[in-house]
This record gives sequence, C-alpha cells and structure tokens, in this order.
Amino acid sequence: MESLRERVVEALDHLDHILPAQGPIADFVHHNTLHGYQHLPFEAALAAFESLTGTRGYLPENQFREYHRQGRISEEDLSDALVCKCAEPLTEVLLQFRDRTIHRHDVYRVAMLYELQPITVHQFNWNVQELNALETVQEDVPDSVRRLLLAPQAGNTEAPCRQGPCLESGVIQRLWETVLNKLDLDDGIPHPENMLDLIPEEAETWLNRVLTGTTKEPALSVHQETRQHVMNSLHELLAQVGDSMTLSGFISLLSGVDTFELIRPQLMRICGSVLDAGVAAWHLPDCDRLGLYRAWRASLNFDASPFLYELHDWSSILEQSPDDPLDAIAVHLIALDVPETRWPGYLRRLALELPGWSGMINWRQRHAECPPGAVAPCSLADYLAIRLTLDRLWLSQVCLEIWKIEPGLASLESYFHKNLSEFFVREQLFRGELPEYLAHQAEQLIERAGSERHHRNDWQRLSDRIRTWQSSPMAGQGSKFSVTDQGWRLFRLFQHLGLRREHVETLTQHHMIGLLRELAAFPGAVRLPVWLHAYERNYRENLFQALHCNRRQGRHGRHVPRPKAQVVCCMDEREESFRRHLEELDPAFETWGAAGFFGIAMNYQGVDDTYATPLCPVLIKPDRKVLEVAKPGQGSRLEAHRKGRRFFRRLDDALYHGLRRELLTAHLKIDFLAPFSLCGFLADLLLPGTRRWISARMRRMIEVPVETELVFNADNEAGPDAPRVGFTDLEQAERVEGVLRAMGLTGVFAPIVCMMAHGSTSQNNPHEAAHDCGACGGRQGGPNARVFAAMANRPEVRSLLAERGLPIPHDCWFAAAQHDTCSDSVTWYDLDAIPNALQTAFARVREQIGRAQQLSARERCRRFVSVDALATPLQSYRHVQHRAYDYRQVRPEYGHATNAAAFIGRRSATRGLFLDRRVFLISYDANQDVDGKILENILLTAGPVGAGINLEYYFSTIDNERFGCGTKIPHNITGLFGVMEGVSSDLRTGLPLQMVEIHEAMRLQVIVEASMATVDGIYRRQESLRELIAGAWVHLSVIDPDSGEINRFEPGRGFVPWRPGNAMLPGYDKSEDYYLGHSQAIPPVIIRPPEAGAGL
Amino acid sequence: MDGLVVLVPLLPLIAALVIGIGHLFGLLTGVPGEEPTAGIALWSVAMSALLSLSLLTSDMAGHNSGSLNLGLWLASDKLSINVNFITAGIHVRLAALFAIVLTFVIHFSIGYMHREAGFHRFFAVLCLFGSAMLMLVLSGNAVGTFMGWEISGVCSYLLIAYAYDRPNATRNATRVIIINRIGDAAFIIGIGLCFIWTDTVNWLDLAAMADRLTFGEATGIALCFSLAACV
Repeated sequence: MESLRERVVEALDHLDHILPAQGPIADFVHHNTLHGYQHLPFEAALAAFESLTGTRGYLPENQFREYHRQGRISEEDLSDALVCKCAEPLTEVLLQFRDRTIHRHDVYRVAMLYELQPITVHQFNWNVQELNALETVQEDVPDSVRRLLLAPQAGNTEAPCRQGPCLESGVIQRLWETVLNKLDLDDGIPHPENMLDLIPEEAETWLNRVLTGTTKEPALSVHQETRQHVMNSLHELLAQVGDSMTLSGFISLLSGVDTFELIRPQLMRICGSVLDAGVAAWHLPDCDRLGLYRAWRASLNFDASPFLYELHDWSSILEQSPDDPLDAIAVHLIALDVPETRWPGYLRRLALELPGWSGMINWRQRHAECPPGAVAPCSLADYLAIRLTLDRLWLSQVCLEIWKIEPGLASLESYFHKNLSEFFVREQLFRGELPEYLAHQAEQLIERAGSERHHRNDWQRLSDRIRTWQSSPMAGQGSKFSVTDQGWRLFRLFQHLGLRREHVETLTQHHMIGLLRELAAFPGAVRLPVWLHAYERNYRENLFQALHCNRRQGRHGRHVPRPKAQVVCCMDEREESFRRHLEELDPAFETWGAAGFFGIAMNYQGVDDTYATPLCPVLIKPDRKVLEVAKPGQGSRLEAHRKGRRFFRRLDDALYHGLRRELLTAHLKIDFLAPFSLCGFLADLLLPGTRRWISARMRRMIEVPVETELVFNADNEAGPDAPRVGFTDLEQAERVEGVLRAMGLTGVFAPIVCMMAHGSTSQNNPHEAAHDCGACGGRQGGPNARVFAAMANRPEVRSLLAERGLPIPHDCWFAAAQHDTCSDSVTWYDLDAIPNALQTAFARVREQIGRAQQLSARERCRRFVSVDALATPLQSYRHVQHRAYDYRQVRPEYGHATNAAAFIGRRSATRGLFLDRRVFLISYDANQDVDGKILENILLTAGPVGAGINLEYYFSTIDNERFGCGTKIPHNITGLFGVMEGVSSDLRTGLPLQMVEIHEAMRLQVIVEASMATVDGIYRRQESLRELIAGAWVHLSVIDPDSGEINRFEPGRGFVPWRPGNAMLPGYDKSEDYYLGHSQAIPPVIIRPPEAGAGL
Repeated sequence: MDGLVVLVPLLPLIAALVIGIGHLFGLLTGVPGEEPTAGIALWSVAMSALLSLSLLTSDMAGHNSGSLNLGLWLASDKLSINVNFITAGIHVRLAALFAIVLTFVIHFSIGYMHREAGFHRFFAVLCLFGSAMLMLVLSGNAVGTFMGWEISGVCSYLLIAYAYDRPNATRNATRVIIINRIGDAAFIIGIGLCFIWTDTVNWLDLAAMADRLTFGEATGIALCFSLAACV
C-alpha cells in the first residue's frame, strides 16, 4: 500500500503545474496562466497544453485575418513572419507556368489569409446553390487577383463569352471541371433531401470504396468489416481512459448518463464549505480536526440530503473507503480497475474536470498560512478522494442498472467485447453524429432492448447500417480524393493564386498532390505562431522606430538645472499617460519609474487592520513589519474611531449576515432596516455621487478620522535576519539608496520628490484587486510610498546616505501619495510634516499633479464609449470618478489591458513620446551601473511581474472562456474567495471579458537600455530570466546607451541587429491633438516640446 | 383617471415591439444602438410607473370608478370575455410597485449590460415581461390575467436563457417553462371552474359571488389558483 500511496502523492504533486494558480480573488496577483509549462518554450508549451486540454493558445485565425484586413498586420509583417517561422525554403518553385511562377511563399500566403479547409457536403451544397460558387469567383478573392482570373486570354477560342457574368461563369466552371478531372472526381454530390436514407446499391458502392481504400481485405462482408472497425474503436476508447477520459466520461459516452453532472453540485457544496472565507454560517463539522475528506465521510451518515439512499450499495462502498484520503484514492482506483500506470493521467483528468475548484484547493493546500482565519485544512488528496468515492457510488448505480455489471474498466471491456454491436450503436448515438433516422432507430432499440443481451440481431443489423452510412459521402468518408475536401480546397487555392483552367490543365495529378502536401505541411498549428509573430512585429517596429526617432530629440535634449519636482511613479504602464501629461504641462517636472513597492518589502498593518499583509512582490517573503498607529495625543479620537468602526461592523454584520442566519430576529431586523436599506439602494442606483458624499460624511462623523504615523524604526542593535517590527537606520538607508541608485536618481534632487504609489477603487467589482499594484502583491501601494518617504526624510538616513556617496540636499522633501488608477484621484500622506519653507513649492506641485490627473482621465476616456466624457478634462475627470463609485459599472477601468512593452532605461529615451499607456517604464541608468548588478536586480524583480501581467492578459484575451472567466454579468461571488457563474459552475479563474476586451494579445517586448555584454551576462547567469527569454515568453531587445543601436534577441540565434526605417514619426504639440478622435490603440508619435520658456 | 390604466401595460408593450422590431430589422444593433434602446425602455417603463402612481393617487383620493371596460373581446353562449381592467385596490398598488421596481431594474441594467451580446434582446424581453406583469395584475378578468401570466412565463424562459450558449442557462430555462405548464393547467382549470360555478370570469364579479359558492367550490377554485401561483 505504501508504494501505491507514493504513486498517488507523486501524481498529485505534478498537478500543481497544470492547475490554475490563482489564489483568493481579494488578493488577485497576475501570473502566467500556463505557469506550469514555463519550463518549455512558448510554442511548445502551448502545443503541450492544447494536447492535454484541447484549448488553443492563440487568437482564432479569423481574428488575425481581420487584423490583416484592418491593416493592423501589414503584408511586410506577414512576409517577415513567414520567413522567420517557416523552416522550408519559401522561394522554392512549386509550379511553373509559361506566364506565372508559383513559389511556396505564394501558397503559404493564401493559406494564411484565406480559409482552405475541407467542407461538409451540406456546406458544399450551400456554396453551390446559394452562393453560386461554381459560377462566380469566390467572394474573398481580392480585386487584383480577380482581374487576373477574368482577364481576356489571347488565343482562347473556347470561351463563348469574353466579358461580364458570362465570362466569369465560364472561367470558374471550367476551372472547377478541370480540378475534378485532374483528381478523377465527379461532382455527383447528392442533395441533402435525397440522403435521408441510403438505397442498397449506393450503400454497397460507397462501402466498397472505403474497403478498397482502407483495408487490405476487400472481400470482407459489411458485418465483418463493421466488427473489425468496432473492435478497434473499442480498444481506442478504452485506451483513452486515463490520460484523456475518466471512467464516468466513458460511461457517459455509452449511456448518455452524465454522472459528473450529478456529482458536481455535491462537490461544490463540499468545496465551498471548506474554502469559505466568511459567508457560510455552518461549516463541515470537525473539518479543522479531521481534514476535509474524513470530515465529509463522517458527516455522510447524517447528511440531510437523501442522495445516498437512492444509490445502490452505497453503504458497502463507503465502508470500503479507507480513512486516509491517499489510501482512499488508491482503493477506488483499484476498484475501478484503472491500471496503475494510468493513475497519474486519470487523477489529472479528474482534477481538470473542475480546474477552478481543484486549483483553489491546491492553492489552499500550498498556502496553509493564508488567508488568516481559514477554517480548515484541505488538500487535493481530500478533494480527489471525495470525487472518486462519489464517482464510484454513481457509476455503480448506472452500470448495474443498464448492463448489470460492476463499474470497472475490466468488466466494461469484457462486456463490450461480447457485445460489440451495442457498443457501436451506443457510441455513435451519444456522440451525436448520427443522422436523425439512424439516431431514432438507435434510441428505440436502446429503450426496447436495453442491452445486447436482448434482441442481438437487431443490434447487429443497426450497427451494420450505421457503418454503411459512415461509408457514404454524407458522413464525410470517401475514397482517396473527395469533392468537398481536396477538390474544393484546390478550387479555392487556384482562384486565390489567380490560376485559370489553362494553367491547371498543364498540371498532373502529381502536382495536385504536391500542392495538397504543401497545405498539409502548413496546418493551423504552424500558421498561428506565424500570425502571432506578424502581429507582434507590427507593434514592435512602430515602437522601435519611435525610440529611434526620439533619440537625442525632444525634451530630454533640454537641460533643466534643477527640476521643480521629481515624481516617482510605479513602473505600471497605466502611469505612462499621467507622467507624460505632467511633463507636458511643465517641462521642469521630471518623472521616474520603479517597481511600486519602492524597495520596501514589508508586512503592513494599518490602524484598522486585524492582521498584517505583505506589501511586496509575491516572490519575496518580507521579514519586517510596519505598523500604522495613532499619533500621540490622539487617544480619545482613536477610541471614538474604533467605536464608530465597531458600529459599522455590527451594522454590516446585521445587514449581510444576520438577516440570513438568525431565525428569530431576522424578521424584526428586516422590518427595522428595510427603509434605510431601500434609501441606500435607491441612492446607489440613482444618485451614486450624492450617496457617496453623504455616506463619507456620515462615516467621518461616526468613525472619527484619526491622525496616524508609522512605526518603522527598529533598534539599531537588532540582528539583520530576525523578523521584527521596523527597519534599522542602516536598513532604511540601504532601501532608500537601493531604489534611488536603481533609478539613477543620484544627481540633482528637486525640492519636492514625490513617491507616487497606486491602487484602484471601484464598486461592485469582484476583480477590484486585479487593478491594484502587482509589485505590492496585488494590493494598494500607498503604505510603501509613505514608508519610503518617511525613511528618506529622516536625518539619520540622510547622513548615512551621504556617507555612502548619495547626498540629498536639506531643501529636498520626499512626499508620499497614492494615485487611484480608476478614479484618477490622488491621496496624499503626512502633509503636515512638510517643512514650511517647502509648502509653497509643494502647493505648486500638487496643483500641477491635479491638472495632470484631469488630462490623464481625458486620455483614458477615449477608450470608453462615453463620448461626452471627452468634452473637457474636468468632465473626463468627473466621468472616471463616477465610474469608480457606480454600482452598475462593469468596466470601472481597463487595468493593464493596454500593456505591450516594458522599457528599462533612462526616461530621456521615452520622454516626449506618446506611448498610449502601453509601456511599463522603469527608470535605469546604465552609466551608473558598471557591473550590471542593478539591472540584474531590476530584471529579476520587474521581469516576472511584467511577464505575469502580460501573459495573464494574453491568455485571458485569446480564449476568454477557457483561460479567462468569461463575462462578469453572470458572476456570483463565492465564499469571498472566487467567482462562479450562477450557482453550479466551476470556479472561474483568469480575467473577465470586460477587463480584456481592448487588449491586444501579444507577448511583452522588454527593451533594455544597456550594453549587450551586460545583458548577455545577466542572461547567462540567471536561469529564471533565461526561461522567460529563451522560451520566448517575453521578447528581449537591447538599446545601446551610447550609440542607440537596437538589437533584438532571437531564441536560438542570439542578438540580431534591428534596422531602422527612413520614415519620420509624426509630431504633435499636445497628446490630445493626437488621440482625440481615436478610440482604438494607436501607434507611438512624438509630442513636440513647447517653445523655449513656455511652461517654465 | 380610469383611462390611464390602459397605458400602464401598453407603454412597455410598445417599447418591447419597437426594440424587438428595430433589432430584427437591424435598426437597433451593437453599441451605437444601445442608447436608443435604453432610452425607449427606460422612458416607457418610467412613464408607466408615473401613470400607475397617478392611478394609485387617484384611487386613494376616491376618484376611480374601480374598473374600466373597453368592450367585448369574445362571446360564446353564456361566456363573454371583456377587455377590462381594475382601477382600484390592491391591483393598482401592485401595479405601481411593480412598475417602480421595473424602472429601477432597467436603470441598473442599462449600465450593467453595456456592450453585452444580446443587449437589445434583453431589453425587448424585459419590457415585454414588464408589460405582461402589469397586464396580469391589472386585468379585470381571469382570461386577461392568464394572458399576462403566459407572456410573462415565456419572458421568464427567455430571460433565464439569456446566455443561451451556456448549457446550464438553457437547462434551467427549460425546467422553468415545463414547471410553469403545471401552473397553467391549474390556472385554466381554475378559470373553467369559475365559469361553471359562477358563469363569469371577471374578478370583481367573482369576488362578489364568492359568498354564494359552496365550501367545496370555493376551495376547488382557490386550490387551482394557489397551485398556479406556487409553481
């Protein structure tokens, strides 16, 4: 048993790689959706994931084709992508005519741009009869090719017409006939109405064709051939149990009874109960003591739901289930006759049937310490043991009822070996592929006979009929070539290549087969990476050209002796517009970018918090704690504040929990609270702004605001490694120095240096945390900015910094603020600490920031539909404020939906460029980092954060139903840890549709302004970065800080120089001159600097 | 003021038809069509709510006659079914409450459903549902109530199956519409029993004749309508 347990443990450990890694939704942290495949190169990972789940990792090809039509992908992009991604020589001549030469590139291009898939008989009939496909040029043939097709041919005496529809009809008809002729096909496709049943002669003809084409024994009778075919199908299906299918899936396919649908509500009830984070009144008894599986097993006998009593032999199955979940898994798998070698695959398939729930259980298992107050321990073993127990209970019921056998792979195999006809009839019926007349017969037979033990002859007759039908063209079978497959595809290909009958007539069947082989060698799985490459290239070329044109241009060329202010924002791409507007408003402002936790990795406990939360990237485990406490002399206010807070907590508890839980008092409470609740509800709905104002006023009256300060100083004698409250002076100096040196902010300091963290606030938005700061572990970064500024203002720290060669002038003050990326409002901290001498300077800075907030809001509004919001900056600002507190709003902001690139380098390289909020901007000066250590650190912290955000958006966009969580509209918050659709769906992970609908799904372009040697050294040293870069999960490029040359890293090839184009970038005086009138993503342009003196 | 009662269910019905036909013929589609659709739905239902409040005020002031008869719809032997409405009492109070709630629902949905596939379909069905519910509570006879009942049942089905690409939604919608049929049967039997035992299907006449029914008859009718309401 021990070895079996080990095998189960091993299989369960492996599930961590494939299950969603999303934690509770309140702490949403962006991560690579395919994190478990990150060790593979991007394309290989997507292929592996597709083979496991059937989910494709690229945008649909039609979407790419639409981008091509819109010009978002150019011909040049497409050609470059084909050259880069195709192994075969594209210039190879495939067809040579007197007047034309067709290269492989031409065929691939047509395959990329137009649908060349086989069609069904019905689609063919539709094309012929409704779309006149055999008389007119295909609708999607471009005009230039169309003219080529219909151009009068010199010396063509056969054509009865020389212009107009008659000419077109003649050309196309003759082309079609020639294609069929070359493939030895006739176009005798029966009309669907004539295909309701097969006449014996037709059946015989088609079957003989199949037998001749596919077997070596054409002399086999229909029945023998059917048995042979069915035997193979049975073996194939049985072989799938494990890796591709569970036993309940197998039985569902043969019985139409989906036991999983019956099990699912039970499973969700159990999982919801154990994962609940504050909604459930009752939990599974003894779950914290026994663990999930044991507690569930113990509670079964007392379950109010009577489902067990409807099931056969339930008590003996439960008695056989061991107490330990790992043992239970092994026992049930043995009982179901699943071979030991297939256990990993079987358990994986079980877990993937509800990946959201399995993933959350797995997350909880691996994060036993969080969230605080988690009610009970649980593990994947518990979950799967329960699942297998329930499976056995229901499968036993179904198998005994229908076939009178035990539910096991061996017994099912043995039964169907003896009853092949029944297997075939059932399989075909429940796959849903039979035509109505056969499906009807199959249903009747199943109802009448139940199993092949009765009416054996009828089963055999029907299975033979089904097999005969399968051999007909209607079922898509046929001989070597078929009209709807090879014929149709070549017909379309020739039209798109502009080839007429005269050309095709010169070809042999060998040429035709060659072309088909070319198409087969270039399937969708190969085309999609080409499309993605072309799509990414288009953006990359525009961005590189912009960086090239901006070099030594624009504002950065002007030397400002001492800036009025330096605003340090998070690297977040949403801050790009805010920074740009600030610099546009006053060129004497400088903006900088750093990871938004500002180097302060801490556990932070606010004055109202019951426990501390880590505020730093998720990979860092902070060992320092910072407390927010009331200032001295605020004792009475703090008491009043806490009293008010308790009042609101009790009120919330009464409203949201008491009314559900308290049997006796709920009615009274409803009567009492209803009028207030109704008023609040109506105000939320009709006057959300007023309601917000009133409730804020009321809150301030009852929950008296209290002035706070931070406890972040520790005893200087404290050991370096001990987890404790606060930082020593030296640690503070190290943190401040680290961030300033990383940004290159070591020279001139402005009077006001503003540390601007960010967060996001919205209403009725379960995914609110997904808009917060990724560098702060998916939380608001205000406390980090506040702690950093407080540290940097301490004289002790400044003197240590001066000793370390980083003097900060006395007339420089670090202010702290938090920018709300949803409402564009800014919250300032510790304003009373600003020295009097700097109050005026600060007031000017604050005013400019206020103006930048409005301009940034206006730029954001262009992506929303509300056109009125664009009228003036103030209106835009009001509009985004309204979005933040509007309960009806499902798009309070677009979050990271615009992310596309990350620039690590001096702001001078990007200042003056309109980057459309698409670029993470991380300040870094290679001249101050000789050994590359700073860059290495930036790449190690910001790289995974940026890649995680980008890849989560990528996957949620390309297939929002599978990788994302679909539209928000039917979402229900479940146990405060996730969302479901309605009440019985899987737990939905990933991003909702509304967050990704404007996203351009492509991998992050990481551009580093540093020498190639430095970057290459880091690449070689750091495996985690190598995994991302060499695996093409992100694209790396390097700009030389001195020469400005750009080199792209190509996996397998190394750095490849990028050649700039000659085109100059358009220039605009103000950002709004460019973006107004556009609601889509727009390429970078230059924002011209104001005339000398303007704005200064 | 009795005449206002006709407009209360009629306005949402017109809105449903305008949105439905506009969407069918491609006049109201996509995001550009959202504003007119939302405007039509909100204004019609808000007007309906105002009218029902006026009716309620008028009733409370004692200005209503209690019913409004627009004419005969169907006559066969002793059976005659009028197009009539009740303009007093709980019928009007319920209509006002329902119209106000519907206004809020539509107001919320306009923002919440923005850019959602099926936006126009949703508002067409929601307006029809509102019209049916108002018809249901205001109709002066059981047959009119039954019509409202049936239309609102179909609308429930369409609203539950709004996301018809999701199997769960369609399954639940189908379950609901099938269960509703049990209620229909009970409703129809109730109407039949009313007619057999009282020769009328008008609610006011039925109420007036309730005293003359035997205990068994009254119980039978009550059970039928209760069963209809329960499912």
